[in-house]
Amino acid sequence: MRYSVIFFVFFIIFGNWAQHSTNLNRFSLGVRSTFSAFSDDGTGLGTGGQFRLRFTPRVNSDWFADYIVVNHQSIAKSEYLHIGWSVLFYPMNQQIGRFQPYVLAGHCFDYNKLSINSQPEIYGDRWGSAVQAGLGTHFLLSPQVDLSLTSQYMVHLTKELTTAYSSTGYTIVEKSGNSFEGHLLTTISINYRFIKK
Amino acid sequence: MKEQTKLGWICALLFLPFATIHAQATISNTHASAFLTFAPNYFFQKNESNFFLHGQLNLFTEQRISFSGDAFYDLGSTSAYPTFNNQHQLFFGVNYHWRTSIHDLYLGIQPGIGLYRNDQALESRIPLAPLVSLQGGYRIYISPHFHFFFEGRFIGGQVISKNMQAISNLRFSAGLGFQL
Repeated sequence: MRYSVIFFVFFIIFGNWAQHSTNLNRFSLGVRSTFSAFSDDGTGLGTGGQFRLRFTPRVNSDWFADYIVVNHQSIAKSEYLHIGWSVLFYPMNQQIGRFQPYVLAGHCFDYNKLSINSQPEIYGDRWGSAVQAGLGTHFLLSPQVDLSLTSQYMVHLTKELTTAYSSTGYTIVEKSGNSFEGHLLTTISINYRFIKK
Repeated sequence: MKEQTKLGWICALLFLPFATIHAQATISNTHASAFLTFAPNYFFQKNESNFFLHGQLNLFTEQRISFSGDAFYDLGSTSAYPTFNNQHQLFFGVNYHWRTSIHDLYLGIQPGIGLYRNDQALESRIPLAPLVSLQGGYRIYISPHFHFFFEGRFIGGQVISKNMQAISNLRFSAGLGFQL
């Protein structure tokens, strides 16, 4: 909870600063859909938003928040809230046609709530931290608007929640030890770049 | 005679918009438009359809690009025992247009969120489901202030509850829209 409050304040301050920055062409705002795969949980879909602050022509940053729902082996519902940031580095000086590829890495705070489908009142939740890295590309629909496709692996640096079966039915338990488990997140985002005219 | 006059008026009112099609529609490259219409859907994995009240607000930021927000409000189902008692959705995203002064063909993508409630399930969880929509449509501008449109969209997602529900469906909307 403490992490979420700190980040929320940080998010608001930075967003506000960026909107009032004189370098408006460095700020973009967008929405995104995320497909989650290759995790112990199963597959899932998420919705969220982000803003970007470009520090130099080759370095950008992505500040995001996602709500992702995963089908946990058809037994439970796993809900993730990711709030974090990534640094994007453009290895090439110029665009390739309308494409601009990048590598990215970053950090996020994540909240996970796991609840049993047949008995939603049985649930467990945890706050944690995660790191992510991956590849992506912008596809420029125009100088102001881009679609971005990003694929990154996110590792949770915390104890994972899972389901366990006992004589009374399914329960939620915490795995012993940090397992460095995570998921592959493929995100498509739509971004509008505020260009100073 | 009275019936014929009434029929004449109805025909005149129905075809009046078409009479203006050939008039050059002077529509700005950057403008806003809106519509409110009814939209049926078709679920892929069950024999059930719903009807929605569909509202859209669309903002052209440049000639080929518009941002649109869509809201769907569930009005009812064709099934006597619908899967969900309520299901409403919100979307926001971008469309890419191929436009002339009269014709407008477009494709778009919108992330979204849906609320799905089944009274019989008596669930304590917030029944929210992330969604993604891929849409395409066609508009014909009949005057500087009006257009007719047809839009189809694929909505993907799943509701995880006591009974897993794949909620991917096709949805269609058509009607009269307004340039604001």
